[in-house]
Amino acid sequence: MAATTAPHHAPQAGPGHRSRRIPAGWAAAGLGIALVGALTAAVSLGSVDLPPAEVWSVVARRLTGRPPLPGTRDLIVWQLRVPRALLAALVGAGLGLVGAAVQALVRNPLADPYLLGISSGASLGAVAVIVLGTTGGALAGLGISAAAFLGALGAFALVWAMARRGGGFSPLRLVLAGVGIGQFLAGFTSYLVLRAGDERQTRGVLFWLMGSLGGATWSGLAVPAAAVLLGLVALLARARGLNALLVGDETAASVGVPVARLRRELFVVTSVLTGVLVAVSGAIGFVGLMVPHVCRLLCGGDHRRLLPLSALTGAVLLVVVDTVARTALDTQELPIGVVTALIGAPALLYLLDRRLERS
Amino acid sequence: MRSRVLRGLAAAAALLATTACSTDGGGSGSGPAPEATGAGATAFPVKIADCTGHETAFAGPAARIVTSNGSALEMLLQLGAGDRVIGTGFPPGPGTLPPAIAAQGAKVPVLGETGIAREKLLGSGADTYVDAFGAMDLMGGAGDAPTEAEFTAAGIRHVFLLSTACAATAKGPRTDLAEVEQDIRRLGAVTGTSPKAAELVAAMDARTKAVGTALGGLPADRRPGYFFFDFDAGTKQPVALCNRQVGNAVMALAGARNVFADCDADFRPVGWEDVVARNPDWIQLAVRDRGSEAENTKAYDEAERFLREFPAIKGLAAVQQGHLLRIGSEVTTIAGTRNADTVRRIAAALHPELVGSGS
Amino acid sequence: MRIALEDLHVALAGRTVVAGVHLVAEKGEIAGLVGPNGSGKSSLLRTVYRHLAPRAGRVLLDGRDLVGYSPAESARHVAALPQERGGDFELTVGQVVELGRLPYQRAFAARSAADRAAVTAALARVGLLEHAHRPFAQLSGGERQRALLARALAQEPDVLVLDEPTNHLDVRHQVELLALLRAQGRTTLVALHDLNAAASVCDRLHVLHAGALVASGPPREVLTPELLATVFGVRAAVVDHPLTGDPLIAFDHRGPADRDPDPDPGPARGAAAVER
Repeated sequence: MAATTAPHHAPQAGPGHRSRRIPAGWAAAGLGIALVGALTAAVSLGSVDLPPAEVWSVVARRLTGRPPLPGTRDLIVWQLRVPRALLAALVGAGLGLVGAAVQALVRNPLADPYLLGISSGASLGAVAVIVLGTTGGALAGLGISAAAFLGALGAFALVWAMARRGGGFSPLRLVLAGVGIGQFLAGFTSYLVLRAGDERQTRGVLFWLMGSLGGATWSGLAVPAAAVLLGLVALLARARGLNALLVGDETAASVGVPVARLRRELFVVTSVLTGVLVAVSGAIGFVGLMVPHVCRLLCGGDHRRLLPLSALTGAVLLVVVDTVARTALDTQELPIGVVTALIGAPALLYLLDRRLERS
Repeated sequence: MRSRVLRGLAAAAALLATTACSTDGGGSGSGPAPEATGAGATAFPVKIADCTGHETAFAGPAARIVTSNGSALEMLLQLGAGDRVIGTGFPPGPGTLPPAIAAQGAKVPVLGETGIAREKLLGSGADTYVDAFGAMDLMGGAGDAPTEAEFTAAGIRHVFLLSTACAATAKGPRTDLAEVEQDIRRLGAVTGTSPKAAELVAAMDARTKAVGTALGGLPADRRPGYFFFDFDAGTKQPVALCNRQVGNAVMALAGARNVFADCDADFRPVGWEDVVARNPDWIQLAVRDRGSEAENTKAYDEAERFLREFPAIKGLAAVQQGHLLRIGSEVTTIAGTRNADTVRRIAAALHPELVGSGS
Repeated sequence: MRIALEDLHVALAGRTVVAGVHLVAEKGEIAGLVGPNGSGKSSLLRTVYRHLAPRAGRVLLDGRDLVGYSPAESARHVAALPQERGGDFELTVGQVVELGRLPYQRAFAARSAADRAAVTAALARVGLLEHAHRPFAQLSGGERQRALLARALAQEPDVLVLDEPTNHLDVRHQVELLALLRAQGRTTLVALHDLNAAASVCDRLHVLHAGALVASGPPREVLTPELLATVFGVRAAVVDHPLTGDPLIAFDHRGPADRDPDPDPGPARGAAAVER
C-alpha cells in the first residue's frame, strides 16, 4: 500500500556503500587473497629455516597423494605448520565472529568474546588441570582442552543463571553477570597459578593463559572447524535480527524480532563457540574486540556482511600474528596473545582516531 | 688418556667456578676455604661468598636453618644436618626425597607451600637461610623476599645455592656437576659437616668418573641427540632444557648431546618444529614425581602416549625406535647428589656397550 | 484496520501501570493518546507493538487477538516508532529502513523486489531518497526521526504506533512530521505530549491519567479547561485557532491550577508540570 512512488531507483534502497565504505564484495575478495597469502607465508616460515621450494614440494606431494618424503621435513611442514596455520585461521575466524555477535548482543562496540566470562571458566578449567593434575585427584587424566571446555560450560551456567534472575537477558544484566562471574573465576585461576609448584609449571600456565596454537594437529581441526562453521550459519541466520538489535530492543520487537529469545540464542551460540575456541587455543585477546570494529569501520555495520567479513579478517590476522609469534625471536616462541595486543592495540587506536577526525 | 684430560678439565672448571664464586680465597687466613675437603671437622670461622662476591661469615656451625626449597633441604638432610632445619619453602612433594631421608624430611615444618612470606622468614628464629633462588629470580613466588639489611637485622645469614641461584648469570654452558658439588661442600662447611660433604661429593665423583672413564671421552659425533621432554610444563608448547641448566651437565656427562645446547638459558619455551628439526635420538620422559610408583608409571604412560599420538612427533626416529627414557624430572634438573645417579642411568641406556647397567 | 484495546492491564516489575483501558481506533483514524508523564502512555503503546505482554485484557486487530499472531505476523500489521532514537551504529539510512522489511524476510533470503520497492517508497515518502547511502549516525535529529518513520512505513503496516514522535524536534520538523502522519491515512495510535499538536492532528483523543482512561472523544469535546485542570494540573482556556479553527489551548504559565488533591500552587513551581 505504501508503494505509491514507482521504484525507479530501487537499487539505491539497498545497503549502501558510498565514498568511504569499501564494497563488501571487494573486501571479501581482497581478504580471500590475503588469507591465501598469509597461509602461504605461515607454511613457508618457521623457526627452522627450510627453502620454500622444499616446503611446497612437501605440500604438493601430500596434496597429490604421493607418499610423503621421509625425514623430518614432512613432519615439520605437513604435521606442524599446515595444521597450525589452519587452526590459526579457524580460531581467528571464530574470534572475529564471536566478537561481532557479542558486540551486537550487548549493543556495545567495545565488548569482546571474553566479556561474558566464558573464557575465565575455560582458563580455570585448563589451569586446574595443569596445576592440580600433577598431584592426582579427580582432575588427573582429564585433557586440558576437555577441562577448558567444561570450565566454559560451568561459567556459562553461572552467567545464565545470574542473567535470567532479572528476567530479561538485558545487555546490562548480561555484562554485569559476565564481568562479575569472570572476575570471580579469574580470582580462582590466579590462586591456582600462585600455588603452581615451580617456575616451569607457572610458565606453562601463563603460556596457556596468553594463548597458544602450538598443539595443532590435523585431527584436532575437526571440532573448531565444525564449531566455527555452525556458528557462522547460526549467526548469519539471525543477521537481520542483529541489525535490529543495534537500533534498539523496542524497534527490534516492533519489526517482529523476539528480542529475549534472540538474546538467549546468541548467548548460547557465542558461549559454545568461545568455549571451543578457548579450549583449543587459550584466551587470545584483542582479536574479537578489534576485528569486528575494523570491519565495521571499513564496510559498515550490516551483519549480513559484517559476520563473514569479520570471520575472514580474523582468520587473516591470526595467521599473520601466529607466524610473527613463531618467527620474531630466534630461539623462542612468543605467546600469541602478546603479539595480538602489541599489533592490535595501536591498529585499533589508529582507526578510532581516523574515525573521530572524520566526524 | 682422554678420560684423564676430561677429568682435568672438569677439575679446572670446578676450580674456576670456585674462584669465581667464592672470592674469599684464603683471605680470612685462619679458616680453611670451604673447598678444602680434607678429612676432619670444619674449622670455624668460615667465610663463603655468593656469585656477586658478597661474603657471609660463620663463627660457628649454623644451628637453626631455613631452606627456600626442597633442593637445599635435600642436601642438608643428606649431610646429616636435617635436625637443624627448622623450616622450608617449596616443600618436596611426596616421594621426591630419596627413601633414606624421606621420613626426616617430612617432619620439617613447611613455612610456605611456595616462597616463604617475608615476615614469616624473618621471624622464624633461623640463624641461616639457604636460598636456592637468585636475587633477581622472582618467578619462584618469593616476590617479597627480605632485603639483605633485614636479614642482617634479624640475625639471619643468607647463603645462596650457587648451582641454581647463579644459573641465570652463568657465563657459559654447564657441562659438569662442579657447582652442585661445591654447594654440598659449602653447606657442609657452614653446618660443620665437611667430612660428610666430602664423602657425598666423592661418591658423586666416583659415579660420574666411572661413567666418564667408561665412555672414554666420547667424540661429539658418537653422542646421540637427547631431548628432555618436560611433560608437566605443557604439551602445546614444549619447554626446552637449555645449556645453563644442571640437566645439561647431566646429559653431557652421560655421553648425550643436548639438542638444545645452543640455547643460553635454563629453560625456554620453543616450538615443536624446533624439536622435530633437531630430530633427537633419545627422548627423556621427564615427569615430576607423583608421589607413588603407580602414579609415576601412569604419568610416564601419559607422556609416552602423547609422544606416540602427536602426529609430528610420532614420526621421529626416537619414538619409532622406542628410545624413550623414563627418568624423572627432579633427579635431572634439581641440583643434588642424585644427579650423579641420573648421569649413570642415562649413560647406561644410551651407551650400553660402554657402560654396564649394573651398579 | 481497526484496532481495539479491551480491558488492557499492563504491569512493570509487578507494579500496575495501565489498568482496564478500553480504546478503539477505527480504520484510517488517528487516535491520540495524551496524559501527564507517567500516566502509562508508553506502556500501553509498547503492549500494542509487543515489546510488553499485557497482564490482562486483549489487543484486537480487526477483532483478532494479537496474541494469536506470531511476532513477524503481527509486525506485518502493526509498525511502531518507539521513543528510542538509535545511537552510534554503522548502518546506512537504507539499511535502517530495510529493517522494516524484516517481518517479510526469511533467514538467508536476499531482498525481494517487493522489499526494494517498499524501502524506496518509504524513503521517498519522508523525503530521504537521496540519503539512502548516508550513515544513519550522520543524520540530524529531524532526519533521523524521518528515517525511523520510513523504517516503520516500509513495514507496510495497517496500524502505526508512535510514541512521542515529535520529541526533541524543532518546531518546523514537528510540523513536517505530523503533516506526514496525517497524509498517511492509516490507522494510527500516537502518544503526544504537545496538546495543541494532538488537538490539531488527531481525530479522537484518549486521556490517560494514572494508568486509567479518563476521557475519550473528539479533541474539542475532550480538551476542556476542567479536564486540563484535574488531569494536567494547569489553568488553561480553550479557544479556536485563528488559522485552522482547531481547538487551541492557551495555558496560564504563571501558575498551576488549584486542585483539591494538590492545594499548593506556589508560583515558583511555574509551568514545570506542563513542560515535562
